[in-house]
Amino acid sequence: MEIKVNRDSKDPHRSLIKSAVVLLCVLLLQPASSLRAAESDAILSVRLAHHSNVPNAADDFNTFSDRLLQVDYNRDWRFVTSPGNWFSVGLLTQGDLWQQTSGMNRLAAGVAVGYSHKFGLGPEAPRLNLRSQWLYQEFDGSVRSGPVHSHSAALSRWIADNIQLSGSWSWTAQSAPSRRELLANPAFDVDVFNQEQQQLTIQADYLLYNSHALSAHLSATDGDTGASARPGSALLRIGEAIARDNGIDRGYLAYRVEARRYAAGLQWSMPLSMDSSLSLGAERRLARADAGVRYRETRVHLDYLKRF
Amino acid sequence: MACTKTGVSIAVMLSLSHAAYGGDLEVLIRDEAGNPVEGAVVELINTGLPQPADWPQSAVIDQINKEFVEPVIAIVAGTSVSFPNSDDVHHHVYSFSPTKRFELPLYTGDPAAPVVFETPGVVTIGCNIHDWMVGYIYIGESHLMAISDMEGVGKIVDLPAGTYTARMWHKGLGVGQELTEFTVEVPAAGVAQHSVSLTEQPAFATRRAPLPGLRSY
Repeated sequence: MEIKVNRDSKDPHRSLIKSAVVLLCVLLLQPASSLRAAESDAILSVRLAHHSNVPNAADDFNTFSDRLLQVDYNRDWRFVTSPGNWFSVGLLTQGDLWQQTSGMNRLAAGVAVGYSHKFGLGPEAPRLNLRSQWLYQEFDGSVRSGPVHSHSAALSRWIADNIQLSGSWSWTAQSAPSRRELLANPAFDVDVFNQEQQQLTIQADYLLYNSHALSAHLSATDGDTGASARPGSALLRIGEAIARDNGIDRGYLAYRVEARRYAAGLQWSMPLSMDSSLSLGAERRLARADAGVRYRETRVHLDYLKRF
Repeated sequence: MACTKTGVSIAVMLSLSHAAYGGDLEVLIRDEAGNPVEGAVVELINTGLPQPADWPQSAVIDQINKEFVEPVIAIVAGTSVSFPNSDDVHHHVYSFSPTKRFELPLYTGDPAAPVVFETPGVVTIGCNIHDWMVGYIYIGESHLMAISDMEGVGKIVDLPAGTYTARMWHKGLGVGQELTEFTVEVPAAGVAQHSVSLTEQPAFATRRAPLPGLRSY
């Protein structure tokens, strides 16, 4: 078994300082007229979800499901700097409440900056969206707590009056500062949730005449993932870091595993008003790691969104 | 509602301008299921009736709550239209319809100058920031026009008795499609009624309601 003991641990404060600097630069670059006419949107998102494999366990013995409530409240300010160009800054707040797995309950807050460009006039014109966000997340079970930052680029285009295609790339890094009390073995690295991933996603949205939308997406993620199981799991052979999982508890150990994950999802969304919608979606996930280790998960979610 | 107001105001203007005449024309527009169609434009063409000297040469399409207040207006060729922005955010009004291409990039309040529509036809307008904003300008050859109200009725009042050729347009017929034409008899007094059945082509509207994104962590 290969355990990387000296993996760099990231300083959570550096991400916040970086985000503050980027935010300040973006704001200073805006013309005064653009700042005055900033467009502000707040979106409240309430999601009820069912996850079939909460610990990302590779075997039935360690797999269990749970339901959760996710509430996000995000506010964005958009500055139109010239025709077809937008800058945005945003404040993000998120909360997760699990029905049984209380150690996974989570609160997160952060900031985001974005740039969008539209190549031409009209709804059919292709759009490029770049976005970076920095979040600090605190779990009831501390092993996962720490900053998360991500950068993404997405290109989208309506290829017909009612079909939009989009492709996106994202890079996400998460760090959870070492906590010695979570050592599973003094010889092992405990930084299970110091992780990096890259993801490619393609999505198709199909609009119906009544403005209902059907969406399908495929994604591939390469990089670190966290998986948990009781002692004796096959994950021990491939884990790059191990810690006691005080998020799941039940005697589980959390492993950082290098894996390639694939996901396919479908979603149906209906407008409730001009600025609110109800959506139902499902996603099937498959992760493949070394030594034939793999895990599967199905997620089902019901979303209510309201724009203010 | 906005179409109704425009239709009524056109009817009132006609009434004031042709006080000497007496016949009215009511065109009842229904879809295939018999439901009233709002926002259809009825125009009488080749009438030979002169346009009154005091006929309005300007019109306004305001923008409030990120929507065009008047989704459909009917104007005579040569009319100038201003597009004030009553929101406190930028709008970017444009059209790439062959009848009139124009662009009013990024403004708040009143744009620099109104846009003059010289050529008869239909112009679709949009906002390049808020893709769901769509409006239509029908540019007529004559001033004898009406827009159907919520009851599907377009009314042109105080016409001289005679036979008229009427033309009808609705956004559901699709831009560039043939306009429906029909002939109507208007009496010296009273109301001539004419019914038109319209086959609406389903059209997709850009969705304004939010869609959930993917949360990757």
